[in-house]
Amino acid sequence: MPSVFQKDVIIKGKISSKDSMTFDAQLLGDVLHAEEVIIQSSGNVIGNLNAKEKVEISGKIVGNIASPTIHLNSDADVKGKLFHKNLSINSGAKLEITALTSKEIKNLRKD
Amino acid sequence: MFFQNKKSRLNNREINGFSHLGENLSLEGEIECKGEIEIAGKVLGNVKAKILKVLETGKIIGLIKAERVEILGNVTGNVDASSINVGKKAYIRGDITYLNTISISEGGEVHGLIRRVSQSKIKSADSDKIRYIDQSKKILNI
Repeated sequence: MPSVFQKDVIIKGKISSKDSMTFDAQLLGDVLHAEEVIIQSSGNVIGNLNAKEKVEISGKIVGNIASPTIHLNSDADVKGKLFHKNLSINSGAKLEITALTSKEIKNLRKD
Repeated sequence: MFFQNKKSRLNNREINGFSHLGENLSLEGEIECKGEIEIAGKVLGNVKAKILKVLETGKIIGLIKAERVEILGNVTGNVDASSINVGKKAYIRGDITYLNTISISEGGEVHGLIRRVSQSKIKSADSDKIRYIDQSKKILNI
């Protein structure tokens, strides 16, 4: 079952999962592994995101993102580096990013 | 899914449903929740919540502090709550401190001290802390 974190949650630390994750919450830390990460409009992330399939952002994030598909919605506020194959951005998004399209996406995690 | 109706929810500023930490998820760190949270994954760290439910697949290694706790899974660490419910497949290794009620189903394993504290004790402890802070402020002339 996918994980859901609502507005009233604050998480500090590293997360890894085999499923999809939806954040409407505050996350201070990295997502090390995940299938899919969705940051909703009340979501606030300070940390790096790694996803095997997709990252969708409607909230705020400061950090790097590595995922084959990245979608930034119109409410998104993103600062950091993006590593992706497909990137789509809706008009209205606030961005301060470096975007790098590559064939292979490496995990940002340094072991 | 229950998180779809996004716009209407934002207008109401209310939370529909509760947070769920999935079975395949593992977290190394703290969680703090002002509402209800359900844990089916693995947490290495402290959990603070209003209503906490540790499902059968859930595992927590760390301190738990909550108003209402239901434990059906595996907990290593002290539990501090006002009412506690321990299920029949639960395993707890650590001390339990509760304020109002506790119930342990037949089969639930608890290894540790179970203790009831009265509210007055907690309050007095808090006021002691405040007094201590006041004194230290006086000493430091803040």
